[in-house]
Order: sequence, then structure tokens, then C-alpha cells
Amino acid sequence: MASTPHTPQVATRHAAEVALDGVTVSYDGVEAVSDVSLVVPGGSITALLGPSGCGKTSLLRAIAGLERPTAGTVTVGDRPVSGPGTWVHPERRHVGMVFQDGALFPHLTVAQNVDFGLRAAGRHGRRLGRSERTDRVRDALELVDLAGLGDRLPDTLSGGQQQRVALARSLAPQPAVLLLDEPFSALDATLRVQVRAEVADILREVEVTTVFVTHDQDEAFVLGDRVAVLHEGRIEQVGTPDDLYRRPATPWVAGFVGEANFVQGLLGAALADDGGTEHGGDAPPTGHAATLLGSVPVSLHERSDAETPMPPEEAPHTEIAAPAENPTADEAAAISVLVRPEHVSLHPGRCALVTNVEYYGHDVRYELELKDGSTLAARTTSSHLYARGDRVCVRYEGEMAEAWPA
Amino acid sequence: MPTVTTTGAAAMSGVWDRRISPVARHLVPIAIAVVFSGPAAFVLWRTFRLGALSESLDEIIDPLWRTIQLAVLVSATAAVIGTGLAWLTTRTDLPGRRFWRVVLILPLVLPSFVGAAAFIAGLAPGGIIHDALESIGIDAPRRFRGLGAAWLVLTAFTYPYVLLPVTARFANLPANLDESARMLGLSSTATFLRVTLPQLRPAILGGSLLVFLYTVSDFGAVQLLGYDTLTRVVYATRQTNRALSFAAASVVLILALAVVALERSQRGAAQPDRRATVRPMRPIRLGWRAMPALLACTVVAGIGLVVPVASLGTWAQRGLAEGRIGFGELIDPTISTASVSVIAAVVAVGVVLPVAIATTRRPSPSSQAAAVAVIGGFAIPGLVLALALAVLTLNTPALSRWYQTLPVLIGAYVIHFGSQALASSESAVRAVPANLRESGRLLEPRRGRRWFHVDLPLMRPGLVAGGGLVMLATLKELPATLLLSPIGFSTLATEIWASYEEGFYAATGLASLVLIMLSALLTWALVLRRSDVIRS
Repeated sequence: MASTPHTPQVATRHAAEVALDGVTVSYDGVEAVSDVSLVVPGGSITALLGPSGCGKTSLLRAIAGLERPTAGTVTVGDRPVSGPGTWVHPERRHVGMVFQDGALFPHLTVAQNVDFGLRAAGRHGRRLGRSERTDRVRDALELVDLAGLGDRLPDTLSGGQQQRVALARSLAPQPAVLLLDEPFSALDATLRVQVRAEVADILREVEVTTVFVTHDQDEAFVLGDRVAVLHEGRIEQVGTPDDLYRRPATPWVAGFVGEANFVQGLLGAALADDGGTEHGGDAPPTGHAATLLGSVPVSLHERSDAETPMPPEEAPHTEIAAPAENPTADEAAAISVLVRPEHVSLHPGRCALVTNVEYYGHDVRYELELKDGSTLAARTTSSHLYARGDRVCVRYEGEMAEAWPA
Repeated sequence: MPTVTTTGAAAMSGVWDRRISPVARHLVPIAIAVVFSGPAAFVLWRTFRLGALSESLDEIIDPLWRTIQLAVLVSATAAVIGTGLAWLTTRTDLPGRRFWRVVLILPLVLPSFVGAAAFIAGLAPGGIIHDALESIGIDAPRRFRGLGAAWLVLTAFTYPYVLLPVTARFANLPANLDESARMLGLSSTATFLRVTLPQLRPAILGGSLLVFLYTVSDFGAVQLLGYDTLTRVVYATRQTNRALSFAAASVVLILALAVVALERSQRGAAQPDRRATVRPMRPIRLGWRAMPALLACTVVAGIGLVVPVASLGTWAQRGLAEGRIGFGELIDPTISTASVSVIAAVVAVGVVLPVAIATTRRPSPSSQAAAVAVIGGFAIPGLVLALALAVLTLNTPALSRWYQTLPVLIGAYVIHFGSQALASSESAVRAVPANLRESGRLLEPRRGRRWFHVDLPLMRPGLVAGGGLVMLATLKELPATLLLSPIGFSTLATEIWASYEEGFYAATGLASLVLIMLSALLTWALVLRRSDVIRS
């Protein structure tokens, strides 16, 4: 990420790194966040992604100083703000925050809301003069494209405008870090996409270190340079959106960040150690698995954490018995192979039954019933349309697939 | 944001509503407006006719000054106490918060004249306060009268009018407003002053104005405590100097109307309630300050509830033990009180419901006029209303046979307290949205059946609540009952009054306790049980 100081026309900001080390947050003895360590590079946009109740908001509030972790340390820039014997009050952390519903002060005008944080004394060691504040308010409102609305009361604005004011308000004092708590979830679907794009532009323009919380995988992928997936108070995986989608660390992550088929297969005798099996290596062993979709190149993970449940409900789970024509059963190991629907191609044949067709325009999603009665989701952009009740054959068409011991 | 579409009033008027003839549509609200504003208009007209105002200005100016002095003191004190207690019981870790949240509202069940009587009786020889002071070697004050006494008593029983709305406001203030202010660099104290307090202001102001109105209109307490306010002038001169009586009544009336108008405009300016935040506020740690906080709660509850009830209780208990009084004598007044209250409640809801329907479904100038008149009825001090109706019936030959009859008494209650049913009735009407009535119409052509099977069941909770509020107010009403009751008809309130005037504290105590029990029961059913006051 561009951590080099850069001067956008609106205002300069220092992009501080945020480091969490072993952070635990408990409510009445129940751990919402357990032993989380994470580094957010300066100037990057990081998403905390997870289902509701996974602890992502608690983690964000711990960075803000609105929750006090029961263990671990939080560092903003080079300054520890929370840890054993260290506690910096939220108002002294130079951290900005945008809440789910904006939390604009209803008794103040838009300009007064934006001015609010500028009036707080001693924020940067000196008070801002009146004219300087006026300039900063104007710049901030211009940044979010609401220049003419300074005199309005928040209640007279649309939801998207309110959210942009909230953003301007938290950016105006030039925080070291900006936190966003489900900033778009209060908006309706069409508005959400639009405001999201606008906010993404603004954040990239000002290059402030940003951490945002979302339960929406699209939002995390579109907005985040990096995404940390949380599950039951722990971080399952941190990476770029592409890492998460293509190389999920666990079946749970695979299912959470997109639709996933888990196809049963047998690891062929030719469990080729061509990827460098030596235990020290980062790359997992690779090989080929025999499945009902044909032979699939796989990269085999260690058995995933026993306490991690299988992926969310929407992922159809395929139980495919080993094909009969592959009799090397004694050497073969049963594995579960991640197959994204778009990696399934359909061909004329009679191996599977089309049980459902969802037409989306840019592509078509099929639900298929395979020979052994298991179901499989497929997405294809092919111009040939199948109908419910048609018979087809399926084949895997993709790169190396992730697999776990079944 | 979950978008709840509030159907506009215009959208609620279905097509078939237009079948009602324009005459009926306007005549009913106009008739209601005339009835509700009649007594006030009569007082002002009569004052004008008598040329009373200029004539008795000298005699009014001092009581007016005293009235305003008392009202300002009481409402300011109530604002501070009410807001402070609301903060303590909602935002801090005060020990026993839930208990206090209930107990601190209970002084509301004591009518101020009962409270005044309880203090006077308690300070009299043999009274509980008197004896308690004696036992620690302090001479009890001989007289409990004047500004100080009125200030104490009225504040002790009216601060809940501030406590209730401020508590409600605290409860639905989103915690993240405070959090936003902290994130923007404000300390917790500055956050309270610059963010929380402005949010509370409409609630505090609205509550204080109600206290102001209550104090200006109060008759019983100031009468007992010998503090000469305008209502006392009205009462004292009602038979001997009618011009002065009406002049004083007009001044109180105008004052009260001005306060209600102000309160209404405030309410309009109040922030729309935002949905409460999902994440509850972490309570503020009081630490060592918990002790003074508990002490403050104890003192307020002591003065507003425990001491008066104990004072009345000891007198009643002594009277019962000596066989001078018995519950038997209270059976008739209790039944009378309960019956007039129920009748007043039913009539009030019946009269106000058409207004509520008109204002919510087909707003028009006439329906607005009716609503304003109903609300204005609340502003008319009970004594002024009673004076108007008494003089009106007594001096108008056509009406004279109605003087001191139950229908006029009930009418006074309905005019005075109808507004208490109006808000609930309006929300009851809103509980039957247009689309529901439309689908009802498609399924069931018979209007009557629709009314009984769709409208009424949906409206019932609102109507019952509205009627209950009228009942509660009627139970505690004194001046109208005093002036308008038929000869020989006594309610608990008049019983308390009469026995107190005779110095028969034991009877006062017993009747008061019965009244307090009744009103506590109703308050429980209406306010405490339903609201979020108890739940955190």
C-alpha cells in the first residue's frame, strides 16, 4: 500500500499502522473476541468480515477505545493505546469512527456536526482558529460532495447523505485511523452500492488507514485491500480478497466468502509430491483427485480444525462416492474438494439432471443432481441454455482446487 | 434502516369515508369544540362584561406575583430533581436502579392536596414528623405554611412529570451519539453537556411546563398551606365578590393557556424519537458517589412518598384503634368515586374518539378546532372550570335545574381530562391503518361487523389506556368535585377535604390511604406495567 506521505488536495493525513496483539474482549465473562492478533498496514483499507456475533464489532470498538480488552495490546502508530497498565481514552486516540446509522447529532446542522471534532481542544496540541475550522469544514463537505448542505439539519438528509456527512465529520479532524462500523447496512440495497463506491473513492483519495466491519462478503471484497475473516471470536484467515476466494484456509472460509461445492473424491495413487511435500514448505502437497467431475488437480490442506463447523447452509454439500473405475482404493485417501460453481462446465451427455435454473443475464446458475443423488451448483456464461429436466454431463474446469481430508 | 412507512393522514382517508355527509363531518367536531371551549369562553366573556379586570387589578397583582414565584420555583426545582434522578436511574450503576425507577415515580399517585394534608397532620402534635422531631429534641415548626411549604410539597409530588419524559428520552437516546462525541475528542463531561443535554432539553422543558401548569392550577395544596395564589382568590371570593373571582379566574386561565401553548409548541420542536440502539450503554460507574446518590434518592422518596403515607397511616391507624373511624363510612364515597371515574372515562373516550378519527383520517379546520378545544380543556384549571359551570348553571334560568347535578359534574371531568384520552385515542385510530380497513372492506361488506371485528379490537388497547388516564385524573380531582357535586354526594376527595377542615385527621388519613391505593393500582396498570420504566 502507498504508505508514502502524499498530499491530497483536501488535507494531509498521517496513515498510522494499527497493531493488535493477543486481544481478548469479554462481556460478563463471555469472550466475544479471543486472542486476536492482526496488523493493519498504514494507509490500507482492511475489512473485518464475519457473520453476526463473530466479534468483529467488538474488535473494532476495542481499537476505538469504546471497549476495554480484557487481554492483549492495541497499538496505533507507534503508540500503545490499550494494554496491561495502558489505557488511552477514546477521545485521545486520534481515531475517527463512522457508526452504522451515522449517529449525527440531530440538534446540530451538517456544518456544525462536521465542525464538532474540530472544536475539541488540544486534539493536535493546538486549537484551530475559527477561519481555519470553517475552511476545514468546507473542505470536508466538498470531499464528500455535499458542499451546499452545510446549513441543513441531519433529519432533512437522505440516508446516503447522512452517511457521507458522518464520514466527513470523522475525517475532518484528520484522524490517524478511520473505523467504520457496518457503514452501509442501514441503507437500502441500491443506495448501498452507490454510497459504497463513493466512500471507496474518498478513502483512497485521502489514504487514511481504514478498518471497517461488515457481514457482507461483496462489501468486504469491493472495498477492502485486505480482509480478515472472523469466526466465533477468532481470525480464520487474513488476506487479499483473491487469496480468500481462491485459496481459503478452511472450508468455513471457503463457504463464507462465496458459494462452494464440496465434492468428495479420492486422492489418486499418483499423489504426486510435485509441489514439494517437505513439511517445512508453505505450499501444501498437491496431486490429483478422482471425482464425479473427472480428475481434479488439488492442493491438500491439513485436516481443518475439528471445532470449525462446515460451511454455511447455502453451500450444497456433495457426497460423491468414489467412481468404480478407479480401483486403487487401498492407497487412495478420501478427500473433500472445493469446487466453485463457475469451475463446473456443462456438456451434452446423460450424467446429471438439471433440477433448477436461475437466469441472471450475465450468467446462469444451475442446480444439478448427479448420478449418486448428490447435488451440485454450477454457474456458466455459456450461451447454450439448459432447461429444468435436461440431462447434461459435468466436468471440472479450473486451476488447482483446495482440498481437505474428508 | 428499516423503513417503516408512516402513512400520511391524507393517505389514510379511504374512499368510503367520503360517504359521511359534510354536515355531520363538520358538525360533530364543531359541537365538541364548542362544548370544550365553552366554560373558558364563558369565564373570559363574563370577566369582560363585568369590567372586572381593570376594577380588581390591584387585588390581583400580588396573588399573580405569588403564583408565578411559586410556579417558577417549583418547576425549576422539579426540572433539576427529575433530570438528575432520571440520569441516576438510567445511565449509572446506582445500586437498586430498578427499585428506584419505580419508587421515584410513585409520588405521582398522591394528589398534592393529600400530600399537603399529610405534612400538616404529620407536624401537628401527635403527628409522626412532630413526634420524630420531639424524640430527637427538636421543636416541630408550629406552622407549616407559606411559600416554602408550598414549594416543598408541590415539588415533592410533581417532579415525576419531569422524571418520566426524561427517563424515556434517555432510554431511546442512541448510545452511539455519545460514543461519536467521544471519538471526536470530547471528554465524558463535555459529552454530557454538549450532546446529551441538548437531546434531553425538549423532554426537560416539556416536563417542567407541565409542572408549571400544575402549580398555577393547583388549588388544594395552596389552600391548605395558606399560600395566597390566584386560585385561592378565586375560591375565597367566589360568592362574595364575583367580579374579583372572575378576574382572578381569567388571569389563571390565560396563564395556563399560555403555558399549554408553549408546551405544545415545544413538543412540536422535539426531536423525533430515534430507534433505540442495539448496543446498550455501559452504565457509568458511580464509585464512592453511589452513597450520596442513594441518599438523594432516599430523601426524595421519603418526602414524596414514605413520610406522607406514614403520617396518614399513623393517624388512620390510631383512629381505627380507638374506634372513632371505620372502613364502613368509606364504602359509599369509594363507590361514588369509582363510579364517577368510570363514567367519566367512558364518556370521555366516547366524545374524544370522533375527534381522534377526524384528526387522523380526515384532518380539516373543524377537526383541528375540536382537537385544540379538547387540549385546551386540560389547560383550564379545575377550579376555574368548576366556577364557570357552577355560575353558568346557577345563573342561567334554562340550565338552573342542572346546578350541582351528576351530569354537569361528569361533564366537567370530561372537559377537564378529555385531552388525556385524546393522544391514546389517536394512536388507537392509527392502529387501524387504511390498508387494513380496505382489505376488511373487500372481505366483509357489513360496516357494523367490520367495526366490531376489525376496528374495535385493534383500537382497544389505546382506548382502554386513554380511559384509564381519565379515570386516574378523575379519582384525584378536588375543586370541580367540591363545587359541582350534588348535595350529599361525597367522593374520597371531598371526604378528605371535609374531614381535614374539621381537623379530623384520622378520617383524612384513612380516606387518603384508600384514594392512594386506588390511584396506585391504576397507575401501576396504566403506566408502570406497560412502559419501559421498569425494564432497563
